[in-house]
Amino acid sequence: MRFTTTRLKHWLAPVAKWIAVLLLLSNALLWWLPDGQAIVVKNFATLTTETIQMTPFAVWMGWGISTLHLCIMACGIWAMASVFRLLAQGEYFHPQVAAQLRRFGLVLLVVGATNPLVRLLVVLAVTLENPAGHQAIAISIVMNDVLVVLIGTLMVMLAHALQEAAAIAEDNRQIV
Amino acid sequence: MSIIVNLDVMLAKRKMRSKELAERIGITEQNVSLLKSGKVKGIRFETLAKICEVLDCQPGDILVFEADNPNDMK
Repeated sequence: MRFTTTRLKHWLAPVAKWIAVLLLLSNALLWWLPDGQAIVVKNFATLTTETIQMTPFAVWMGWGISTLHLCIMACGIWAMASVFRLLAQGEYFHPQVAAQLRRFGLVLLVVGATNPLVRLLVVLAVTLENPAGHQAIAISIVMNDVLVVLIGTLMVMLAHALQEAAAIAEDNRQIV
Repeated sequence: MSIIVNLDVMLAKRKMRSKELAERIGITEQNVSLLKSGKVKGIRFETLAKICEVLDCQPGDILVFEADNPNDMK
């Protein structure tokens, strides 16, 4: 099934944008709905033995920190959508493909590298209002973070190669 | 150092228009126009061969090397 001959290619860009929006929306639901908060507590309970209290402060801080992080990811997904749109139009060697792919790669790099920091800050936020001496910070590095950083690095390097390819394609266009 | 394209001279000699040449050699009229003005980075042998065939000429009739400094010719 050739990518260029399927109708799927026209849907990838809008679907990617919707995923970015849903990511932020689901994060909001996670932090602001009681059922969502239960998931948050269960998730972060694996990182600390201290009591996790979903006080209004904890919810605001946790949601704020995670939303900030997800906004960066959403920017990357938006860049990915631009790549999908250009590829769907057959613009394989458009300079913007390399530029947007590079942007996506950098976002992955940043998101992967800052994931441990975000987890640390969120655990601190949800335990900050505990009695004195019962606040917690959790430093955790999981394989997913490493993989995301590696994939981001690969994307940046691929973008550089695409940029060179675009320059060659442009040169070829000027050879009659 | 530059390569001068004398395609327009050859077209005039053969009383042929760019559009006809473009159709006969299978490239766009825009590319023929760019070629005439020398605003291309290169020309494929295949294209050059077709031009020579259509205009009944040699590559040297169309492409001329011109040194910027006459001393470069030595």
